[in-house]
Amino acid sequence: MPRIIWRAVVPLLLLLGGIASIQYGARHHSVPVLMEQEEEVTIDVPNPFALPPGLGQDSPPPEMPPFGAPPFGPPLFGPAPFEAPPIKEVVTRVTQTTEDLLEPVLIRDVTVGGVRLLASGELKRTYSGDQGPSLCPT
Amino acid sequence: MVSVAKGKSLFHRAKLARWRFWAQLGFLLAWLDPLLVRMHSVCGPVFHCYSCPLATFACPIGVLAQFSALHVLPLIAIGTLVAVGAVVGSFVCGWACPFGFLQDLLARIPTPKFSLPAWTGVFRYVVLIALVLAIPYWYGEEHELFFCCVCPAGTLEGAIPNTVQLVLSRQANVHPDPTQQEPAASDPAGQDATQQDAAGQAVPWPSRTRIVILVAVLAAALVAWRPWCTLLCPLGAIYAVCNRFSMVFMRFHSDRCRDCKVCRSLCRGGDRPNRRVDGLRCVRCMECQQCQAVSIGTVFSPGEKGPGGPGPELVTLDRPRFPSGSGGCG
Repeated sequence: MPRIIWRAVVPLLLLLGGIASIQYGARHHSVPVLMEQEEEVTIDVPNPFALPPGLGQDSPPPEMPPFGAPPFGPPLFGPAPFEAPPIKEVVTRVTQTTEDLLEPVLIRDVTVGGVRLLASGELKRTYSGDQGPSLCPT
Repeated sequence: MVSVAKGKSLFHRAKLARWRFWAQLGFLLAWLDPLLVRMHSVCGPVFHCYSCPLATFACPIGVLAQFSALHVLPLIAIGTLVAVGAVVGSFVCGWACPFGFLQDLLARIPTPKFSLPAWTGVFRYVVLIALVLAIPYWYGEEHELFFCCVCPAGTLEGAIPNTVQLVLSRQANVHPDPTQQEPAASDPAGQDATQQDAAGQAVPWPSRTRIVILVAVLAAALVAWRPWCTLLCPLGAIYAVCNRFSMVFMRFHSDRCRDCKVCRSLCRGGDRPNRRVDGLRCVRCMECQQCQAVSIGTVFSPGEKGPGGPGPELVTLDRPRFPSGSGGCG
């Protein structure tokens, strides 16, 4: 009789333990992962054709009049002819954040080779966005 | 009268074992993602590579290896294996595993078959500890002996289909004008022309090691029964441990044994059911159930009545029933 009880109790305990492990892993077990997020921002880049500071600007050096200006008095026809506006350029800015990933998300990520262990011991996601880096991690 | 009853029981048992093929086929369809849901956040209980384009779940062994490389405890994978193993043990191997099914199909080819000694099942624990846990933990997933890098199921189900898919997709994207295509030999990287697709881009072919291992396993399946499962499978090693305490288990009825050695000859895994009915390499294919001394039982039916008569004294063997040379049917 004790053997029958033992034979029934052990698998039941293991089954409950397995289910509890799945539940805990799915809902509470999270791991901090470094993530790099890319966003596109528009920045002003100085125009390479603009004159260097001091030339063609509002406050020219006293001993030298602005280029194109008449030798006496302010310019007669608006601003200096080489005053170019800055160029607007779209660049990708990478920001690094740390997020706690739940284990199911981590499982999905490792199936596509999306998480690596850094030498510092931290985990880093190797991609950004929804699409994984590859179908086969190896 | 007794012989008639036994004949009838043999018929029923053979019929039960015959369901195994259809069960394997049904499970195969389930693992091949028929609904295209691709639930890779969930660990499946079988050896089916998650890199397969048609994989429903994540492979538990792959997850164990990857998490070992990340130094994270895989609670979901462990929980899945323990829960499934506690209920059915290695029934999963014999009835649900797609890679086992493939080996079963190869075994149907009529070739001379050899059986390996039962102790060779220990190699599976070496694979589990070394390739799945230790090497990933210490050397990471870049190591050439990382389990997924040598896994034959991964090569067959993941690497080869993905490579073919990649080559086909790139060929479809190639400009139709042949003059626009660069010849492969002109690639500045100087890579092997066989590793270039039509667009001149490098294709990540499976490594030679992977291909050799896959071919060796498939060739061995022609001359031995389930060589991967019985020799090297780490998932089978885990379920073999679970066989000792699973809710569903195999029984050997010593009172029905007539020393005919039928059970031993029926076991294609090379185990000796009359000595240890849930042996180290048993995948619970239930072929040995054609012998009247072997039956299936659960922890909820300890006093099962088999066709050979009432069996209140039926026992499950955890140790050798007949010592070597004692005159038993082993």
